[in-house]
Amino acid sequence: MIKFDVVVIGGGPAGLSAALTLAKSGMEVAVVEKGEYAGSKNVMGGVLYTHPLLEIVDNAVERMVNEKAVERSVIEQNMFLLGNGSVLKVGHRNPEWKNTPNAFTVLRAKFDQWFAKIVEEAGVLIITKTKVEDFIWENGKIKGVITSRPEGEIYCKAVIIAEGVNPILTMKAGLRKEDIKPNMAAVAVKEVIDMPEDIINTAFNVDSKSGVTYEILGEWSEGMFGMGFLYTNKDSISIGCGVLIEELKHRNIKPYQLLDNLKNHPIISDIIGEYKNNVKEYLAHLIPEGGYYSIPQLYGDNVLVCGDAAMLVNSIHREGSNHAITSGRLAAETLVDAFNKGEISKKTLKSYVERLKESFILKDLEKYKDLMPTMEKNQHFIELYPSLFNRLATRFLTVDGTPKTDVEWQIIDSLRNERGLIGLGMDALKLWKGVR
Amino acid sequence: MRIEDKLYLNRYRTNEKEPHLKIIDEKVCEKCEGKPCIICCPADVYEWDGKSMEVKYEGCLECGTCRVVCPYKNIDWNYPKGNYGILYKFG
Repeated sequence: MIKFDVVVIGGGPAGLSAALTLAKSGMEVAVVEKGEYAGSKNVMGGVLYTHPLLEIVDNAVERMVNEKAVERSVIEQNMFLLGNGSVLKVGHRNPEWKNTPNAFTVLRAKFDQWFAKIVEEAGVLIITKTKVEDFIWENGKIKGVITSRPEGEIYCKAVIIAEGVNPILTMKAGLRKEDIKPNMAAVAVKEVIDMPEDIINTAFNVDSKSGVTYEILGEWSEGMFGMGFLYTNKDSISIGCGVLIEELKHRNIKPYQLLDNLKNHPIISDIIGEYKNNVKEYLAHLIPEGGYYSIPQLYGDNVLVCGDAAMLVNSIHREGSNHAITSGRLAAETLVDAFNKGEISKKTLKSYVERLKESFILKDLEKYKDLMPTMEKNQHFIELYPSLFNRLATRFLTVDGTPKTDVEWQIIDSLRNERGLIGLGMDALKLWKGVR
Repeated sequence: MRIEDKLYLNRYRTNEKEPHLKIIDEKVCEKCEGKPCIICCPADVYEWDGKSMEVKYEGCLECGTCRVVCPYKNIDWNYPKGNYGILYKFG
């Protein structure tokens, strides 16, 4: 009989972080990963924040850079509001991020394999090419997992579920009664596009170690609530977009047509230019968007859930992998305490929720819990404002002999006609209430 | 670029013996008005030929959208067996 202290389901950031934390406390841990290698099924836009890794991996930044686990350190972040053929930009560039990296662009197949190697070095057994099909139950408690391998039962004292956004095993564990709903997830598609390193450096005004990010709202999404992105990797770019499934299902538009909209918008097309069709890989994934209200039961007897499976994503700030790494660590720390107390039960694992509440994870998710519903219900945010603000910017910045006072009145008239000053004030108030 | 060409760039290991996506009851699809699985699938896995739903699971990107969007929960959705299905090189 194969037996471990803990079995972790899933070799992504959440599962690997949990396994590493457990192994450091001397536990016998196995990670079961269905892909050929950790990362072979994993997708994200591509921004990884450094802070949660610093807490669990010694010299994390130096190692990531030296061992080529990451692409470029993000020194410039931009928000694009695309209008009809134009753009309104807000951005921030801080070259200091070159010296103390805040975030890196990453390609997950590479990054996850690097992370898995670190976890293996700490003594964890990573069982790849193996899918967990179900749990072994005894007296209503989980006692192990049944894998896709012949005679593939693995017994353990506790399980950490880090299966990702599709909550198949979370449901089987009884921690989520119903599957996620179309308003709780966005379907995101992405292309990795070949672009020579020096061309990227010139086009984005960076050196080979530094990169930029664009988050892109507006014209491409055909009025749907969604976010586009463009990130620079070492010698490729990641470009993609995501829209809520709930919105997409009512419209006769395919997800990849929206990505084509984005790529073909004159502003974006100018950036990627002749490289537009140099696609190396086409990817799709769900992004948890349900936020605070969609979080499942996070613990049970002998079991904890972390990462995307726990819906711990702050989509307003496009943060997910940092929540995954931190929630994995907190789940593991909860388990270590429970092992030390000699009791692994709902009672001792309940403190996982307290730990999440004390961290940025549940503090942030609670802060933004009503922002997404506000944005979804108010179509103006997506349908009207990106194009309106672009037109106003064009009017404001076009010098054609009109006196400035008249320009100001033209702008106020546009705002009055297209939304109304009271409506505008209400929208601003709603947005403020959502983010305060 | 056509979607077929994009999917062709990806690396898959197809389990010929065992499709990981199955329609539970085709009659339900016949009644289903919007057939949102067809619209929302980013890999064009689903195709309705007027009588039955063809499921081209070989190109599936395993995102889960079809399962979430199916109004009748009529898709038996599983990840492929270990080591099968999509294998991203970049991610």
